Amino acid sequence: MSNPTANVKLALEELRDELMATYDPSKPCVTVCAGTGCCASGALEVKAALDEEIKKQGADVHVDIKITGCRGFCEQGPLVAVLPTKIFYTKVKQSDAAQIIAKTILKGEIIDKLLYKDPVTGEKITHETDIPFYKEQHRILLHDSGSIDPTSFEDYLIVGGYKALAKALLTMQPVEIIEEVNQSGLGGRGGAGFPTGKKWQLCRQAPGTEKYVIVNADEGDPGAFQDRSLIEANPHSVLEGFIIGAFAIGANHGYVYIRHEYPLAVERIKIAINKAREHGLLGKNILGSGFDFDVTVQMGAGAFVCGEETALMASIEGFLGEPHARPPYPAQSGLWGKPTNINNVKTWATVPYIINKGAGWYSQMGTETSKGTTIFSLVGKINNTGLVEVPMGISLRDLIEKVGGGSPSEKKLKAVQTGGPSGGCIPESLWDVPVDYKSLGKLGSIMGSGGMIVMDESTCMVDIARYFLNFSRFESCGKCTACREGVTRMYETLDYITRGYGQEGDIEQLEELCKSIKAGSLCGLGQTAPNPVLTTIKYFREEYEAHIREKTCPAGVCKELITFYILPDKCTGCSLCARYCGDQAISGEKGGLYVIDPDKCQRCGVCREVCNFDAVVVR
Amino acid sequence: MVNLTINGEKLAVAENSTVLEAAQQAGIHIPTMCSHKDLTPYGACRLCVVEVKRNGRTVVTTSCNTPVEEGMDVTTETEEVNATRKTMANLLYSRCPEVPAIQRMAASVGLLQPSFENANPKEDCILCGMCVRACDDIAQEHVLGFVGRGMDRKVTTAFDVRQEVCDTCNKCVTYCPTGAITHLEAPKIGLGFKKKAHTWKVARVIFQYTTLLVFLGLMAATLFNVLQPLTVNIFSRLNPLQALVAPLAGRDLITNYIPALLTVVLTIVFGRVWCGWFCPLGAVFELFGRKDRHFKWQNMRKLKYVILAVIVVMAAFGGLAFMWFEPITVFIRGLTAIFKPLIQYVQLDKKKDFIMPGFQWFAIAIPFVFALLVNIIEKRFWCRYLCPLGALVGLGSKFSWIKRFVNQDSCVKCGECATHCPMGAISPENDFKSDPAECIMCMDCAEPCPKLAITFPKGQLGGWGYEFDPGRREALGTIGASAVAVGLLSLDVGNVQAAKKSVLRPPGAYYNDFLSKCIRCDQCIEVCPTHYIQPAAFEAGWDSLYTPIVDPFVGYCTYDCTLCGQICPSHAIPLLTLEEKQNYSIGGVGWAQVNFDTCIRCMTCLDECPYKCFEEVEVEGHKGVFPRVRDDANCVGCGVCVDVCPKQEVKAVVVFPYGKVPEEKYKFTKYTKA
Repeated sequence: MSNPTANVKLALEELRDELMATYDPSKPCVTVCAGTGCCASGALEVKAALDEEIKKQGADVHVDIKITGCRGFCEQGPLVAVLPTKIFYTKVKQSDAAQIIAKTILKGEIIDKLLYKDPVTGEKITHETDIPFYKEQHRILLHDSGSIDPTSFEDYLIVGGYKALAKALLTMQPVEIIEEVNQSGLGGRGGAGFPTGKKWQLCRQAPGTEKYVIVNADEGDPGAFQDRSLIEANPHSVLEGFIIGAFAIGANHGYVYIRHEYPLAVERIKIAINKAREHGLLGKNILGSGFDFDVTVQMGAGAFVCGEETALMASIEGFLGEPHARPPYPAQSGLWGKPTNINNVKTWATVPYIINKGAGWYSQMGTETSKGTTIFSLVGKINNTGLVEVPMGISLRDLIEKVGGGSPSEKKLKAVQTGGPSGGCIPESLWDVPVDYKSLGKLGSIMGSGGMIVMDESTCMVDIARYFLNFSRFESCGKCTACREGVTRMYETLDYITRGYGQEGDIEQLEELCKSIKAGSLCGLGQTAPNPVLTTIKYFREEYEAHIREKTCPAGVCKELITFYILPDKCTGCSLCARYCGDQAISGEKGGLYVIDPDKCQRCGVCREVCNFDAVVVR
Repeated sequence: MVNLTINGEKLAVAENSTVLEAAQQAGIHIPTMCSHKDLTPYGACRLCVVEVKRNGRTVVTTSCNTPVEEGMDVTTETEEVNATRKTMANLLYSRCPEVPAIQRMAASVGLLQPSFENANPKEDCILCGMCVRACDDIAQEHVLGFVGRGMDRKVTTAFDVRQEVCDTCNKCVTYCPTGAITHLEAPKIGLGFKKKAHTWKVARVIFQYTTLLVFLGLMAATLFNVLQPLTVNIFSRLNPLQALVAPLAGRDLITNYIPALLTVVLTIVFGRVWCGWFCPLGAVFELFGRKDRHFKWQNMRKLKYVILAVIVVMAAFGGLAFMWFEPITVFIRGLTAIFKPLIQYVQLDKKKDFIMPGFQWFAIAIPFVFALLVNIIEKRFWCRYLCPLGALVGLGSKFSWIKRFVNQDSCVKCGECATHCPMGAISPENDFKSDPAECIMCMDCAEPCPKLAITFPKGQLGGWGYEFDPGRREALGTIGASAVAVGLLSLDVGNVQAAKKSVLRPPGAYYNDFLSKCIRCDQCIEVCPTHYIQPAAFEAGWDSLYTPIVDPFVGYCTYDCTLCGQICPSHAIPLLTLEEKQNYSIGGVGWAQVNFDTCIRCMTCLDECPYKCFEEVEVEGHKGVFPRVRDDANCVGCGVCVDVCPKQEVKAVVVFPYGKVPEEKYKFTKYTKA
């Protein structure tokens, strides 16, 4: 594409220069994490308090205050970081604002009680980068999350935003862009890992001039929040990649399909789109390249299945969000029957980095088959829950024990569930495998959108399979028999097992159902829904057998199969448990021995939680 | 054209066709519950899974929505495919355990029991989406759609509100594979159709029971001798069987039966409506008994044709011996047997004068009681297997203009209609169609049909050669049975012929071809105010069973009464004027004769005889003056003399049939007063 304006200094670049001239990197800046997690624990109140304190203490000339997107370490929120020194405060309260301004900003002192304490060594850590949680990560997509204001176009420019867009639109041909993405080895981050470059190429080659691109931000797995955090933290990076992709594919209209349950993300992507439009990055003749592109934000009503591409497109078209069979693939006949390319938020957001730094740089990271980095939301029975970005190929053990910080209690970690309700449970013994699409697939799990739930000994694997199936059965669109009926029947069988009605042959029946549902389902939801069952049967068959044959729950979770019992030698007769028991199931005399009546006991577990002497046990 | 391989067979099929279509073209069966050639493929039921190899990859996928590709290799049955298919069948079966279409589908893949229990076993919707697609693709009304996710998914209309267009369209109904479509809660598909069907059914029931009430009213009128201006024998006169056989056997055009032509016309137009809408006996049968088929030997339905053939063939030879099998006569006799004595008892001032009739009287109700008893086995057992009138109108119905029609494109063989059929006419072996000769047009089956497949259209199907018509062997069997019947006719067991002449018949019958016309309805018995007319058993031969005879020892013929002749529908008892009846050569019953050995010469008979038949005679060897019927008297055998005779037990005066009057034993001379 010939470009008459290539030599003309772009208005965009002029604005960037102007900003850089006034930008003083050494000026202290207090950043308050305003991701959904930190907001929930009071980050916005902290920000308001800080604003007030700055005015009160007259420090407003010395310091900037801004909110940033999610820093990932949600466990410790609200998070406050002081730039450029990167002093990192955790669990900040409104009342701490005065001290932060007075001590840290004005005097440069460090407030000891707000520092992060390493749960393993007990050491206090001052700087963000020294915290093991961050040290072990390799943050590319999340690199700027903690330093820029997601609502500010200028902040994004300062960190080099939209450079890739200018480069792609003005100096590269669409095929070159596709080739670059192809070379980088970027795989779809929605979970399947289909090569992005190839996908774009198919869509570009599809006949027709009217094409569409879609950002899939319909992230619905329980325990996953990467897409949301990324949009909340750095919406412009997604938008930039999106525009580049649209240019490469030849699409003039794009949709951001985002969950209605993500109001903050919706708001921020809308702000970003409006700002981009104001600055001529969306609309007609973008950057004078002659390329027209605009974006519509489409909110999903909250169906998990709408994350499936065909269902998503049906939803945009105004139909019931249910998938249809492929072929025809979206690249041939997608939205409104036109060639359509649909990618995950993370995939789009990766594109500017590849364009900027080159395919070679990107493909250095990762493994032979899976390149680059990916984001996981790490949750469950570990010390550091939160959002982590690691290179592909890191072992599960490193991810969970180094980044995640291992178990918070004495209980041993037992398994990790990857890929949300569609993934499988991988036992601790297999944690040395590298995390990539292939090896997780071999273990019967999937990468999925990157949810990772760590479980310890107190988790019942039958119960966890039941839990995920319960999710799947409610989220199944109900179109095909295999998923609608099959998943429900699997859930019922598991429910019977956890309630002590399991019978010999149930495991075999489950396995058979799983196989048929995998083979017979229409879309990915049904095809992967049996994964939690299959993997838990494969790796934890003895737990199933214990439930069925001995009618016991080894992990002590399944209520119908357990009894609470007070150890006589440990009970001090403090009466605490009896006072908390909602069912008056515990009787005894103060100073004497307390006993639980199993007929009255509802197995809520309150007694065990409140006992200070570990006298209440499950049998 | 696209070349592909299915089960090793090389095929060339049109582009844009699906694997399923290609397989069907090759005659390979793939089970499916959600695909139809008229509708866009959907892929919901997952039964049509096949193994597809293309570009070196092997996948199990649904054939209904996989387009054919060049070089594709399809296998319709592998271990994995079969296992998947069976699981899908199992899941659908577990969802809808009571739907016959699902049961058949499951059985076809080798599954006889569902593995899982359903909390709602009445569920019949498998969510195949055929109705939704029909609404979109065919009707283009876009009224139906899915609502809800997962197990909560259901087919309904927007906001669960019924749409007006659904009353008229019903295009979706044909496509529903299970029959759930009309059971949908909110849309109430087919409501208009069902309302119409219900209206017809209600109209039929009202008509039927009105008819029954009219019939009972006429019977009451008969019992109370109110014949005019009511035409109380109208049910007989409308009766085509009587209208056929009585003139046939009697070799006479009986004008009384002209109304039966109306029935013939109605039958030709509407089918066997006589039985379903009109027959009062049928209305009684409808009151109890089990619908559907329970009696194993359905071939027995042909028995009624044999009975009909026997009756008709015998009629051709002049006999009506089995007309007591005719349903209207069965019902009339049943009512007569009970109510005639009852009314007499009620009307009597001195109750102790009442004489309970004997077994011979009540025997006339045996066929009626029998028909009611067998009705317990199956509703309308009589109508199904025995009724000769039903057989006759049934034969006519084979040619009727309006017939029950089952739309086979829609029918899902659920069998719901059969459970509502009072005739058991609906044949499960024959796609739930019905023999028009068995269907009584009651229309009870139309409303319950979940597929609205049952209609009663005009001008459908025709006459013989239809699937229910009897085979040659059955036809020959019927003819054989008729031959036996003719043999029976000529059979002269003992003194049957003599016995025939030994009884007295009602007024005028003697001069008539009585046995060839009497249809054994016993309405004459019912109407006779003096109980003069009584039912015969076997005293006049086996073929006179239930025919009327007169018994002067029970009653007498009222001088100015011609009710029996008025009511007789077949003119077996001729319709006589009073003068004619009172003339012995036209309306005579028999001739009275005094037994001089037992007569006590009280002369009451002489005084009471309305015809002044008696003279006074002196008898040789006997003392005194005796009454005697004059040789030139006009004795009609009215029986008044017998009735008034104080010496009935020794039969001092007896009425004999004409020609059977014995010679006087003693010489006598006319007595003239000195």
